[in-house]
Amino acid sequence: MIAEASTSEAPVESFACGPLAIQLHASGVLRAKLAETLGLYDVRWDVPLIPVDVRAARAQGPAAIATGTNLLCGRMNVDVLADGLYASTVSGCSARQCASEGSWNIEVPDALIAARKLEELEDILSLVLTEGWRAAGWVPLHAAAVERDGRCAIVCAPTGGGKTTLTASLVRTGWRTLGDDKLLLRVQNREPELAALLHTFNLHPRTRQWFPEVGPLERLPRYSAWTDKRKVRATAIWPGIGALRARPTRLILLERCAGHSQVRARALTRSEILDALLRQTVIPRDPRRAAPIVRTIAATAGGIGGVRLEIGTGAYAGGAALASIERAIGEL
Amino acid sequence: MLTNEGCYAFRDDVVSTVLDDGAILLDLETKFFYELDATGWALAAMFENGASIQSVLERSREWGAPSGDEPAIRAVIDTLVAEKLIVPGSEAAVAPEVDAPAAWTSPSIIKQEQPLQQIMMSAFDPSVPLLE
Repeated sequence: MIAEASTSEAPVESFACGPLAIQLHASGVLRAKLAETLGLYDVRWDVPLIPVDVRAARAQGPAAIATGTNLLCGRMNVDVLADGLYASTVSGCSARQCASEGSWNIEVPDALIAARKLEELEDILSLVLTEGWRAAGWVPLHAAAVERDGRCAIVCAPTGGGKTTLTASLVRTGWRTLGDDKLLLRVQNREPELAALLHTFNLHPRTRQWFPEVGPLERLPRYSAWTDKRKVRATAIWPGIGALRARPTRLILLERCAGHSQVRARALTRSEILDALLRQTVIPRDPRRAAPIVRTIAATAGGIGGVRLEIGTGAYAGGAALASIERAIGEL
Repeated sequence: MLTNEGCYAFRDDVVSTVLDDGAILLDLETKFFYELDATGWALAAMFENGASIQSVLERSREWGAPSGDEPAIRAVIDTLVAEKLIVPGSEAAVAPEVDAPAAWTSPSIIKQEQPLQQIMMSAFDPSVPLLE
């Protein structure tokens, strides 16, 4: 039997995650794993935070299996219940939201605790956070953003598609960033607004060939079994680059291309901007949850320009690429 | 081919978002989305609370639709029906109050080529999950 205190006995630890104040009630390895993920959110918001209680403990029995009426993820399904969401993972973890109380109860099977196989807690936390951010009026966006002199570009690309490399190359020339991977977006008075959540970059060790100042990243641990990238506090490498809020003016859709070392740009239609933005956020199947997300994305797409940038292998080796990219951001 | 009888209404899991010059419809079941111009949306909006095909055609004539646009109007409605965005309703057809388009143009509806992702990497990341 693994000793994991019940949540009533567990110590409470607080984490600020954007507009949310997460009160974590957990102990032992569960606390360590959840705290590790929550601790990544290093941008402090100067607003009253919304409290969310997260309690994690050993499962008392087998978890009911969610069918995915709200969301189907690779390792987790999410259902809509009367007072919030219910999630179950492939290995038997579960999370039940009590929306009226602003709380979540997470249960983890003994076997996973014993084996320290707790990766699925990351999936559950991403649900807890996204649901909280949406309730606070924000839409989570899987994108990077850079800003300078009133210009701000949302940078979209698939995972491994070059968001971080482009962001890093621009911050070295005076641009600031709201993040390379996770942003929040809202529209107020018809004006879109982006907010930063974390200033940690996910950098591949090979980026050192273009940015020597990042140092020997291969000495750092991988942050996931599925990638060679390392988590690096970007503001420690490039001080002063962190931006907190910005009004987006452009969307950049990145595409890597082998066979040349150039940057080729093509303006996007509004329809293409809408399509690109819709693909950067998770849209649940529950219409009440989906509608405000689509409204925010559509309003943003209608107010910004966009460009598709085809970036050739080796384009970052010369300064000409950056000049082309900055022109594309500024001249649309 | 459509008949003029019967009442149609949007499915509950079709989300409509009105834009300055039209609207988008997102089918949460298939994750396809559709763009409508202002006239197309004025027609489609009549189905929000249930309407008959006939009443929509009559309303479009009242709005000044030329007879030559009837194929385009029917094409929009055909698409809504064929894509199961609107489905037969059980109540009698009473067209709701919908604002006329500012200027009548031949209506259009465009279906995006690729649906949005059905299965996500996580609740935050809409990428397609990697095979494990």
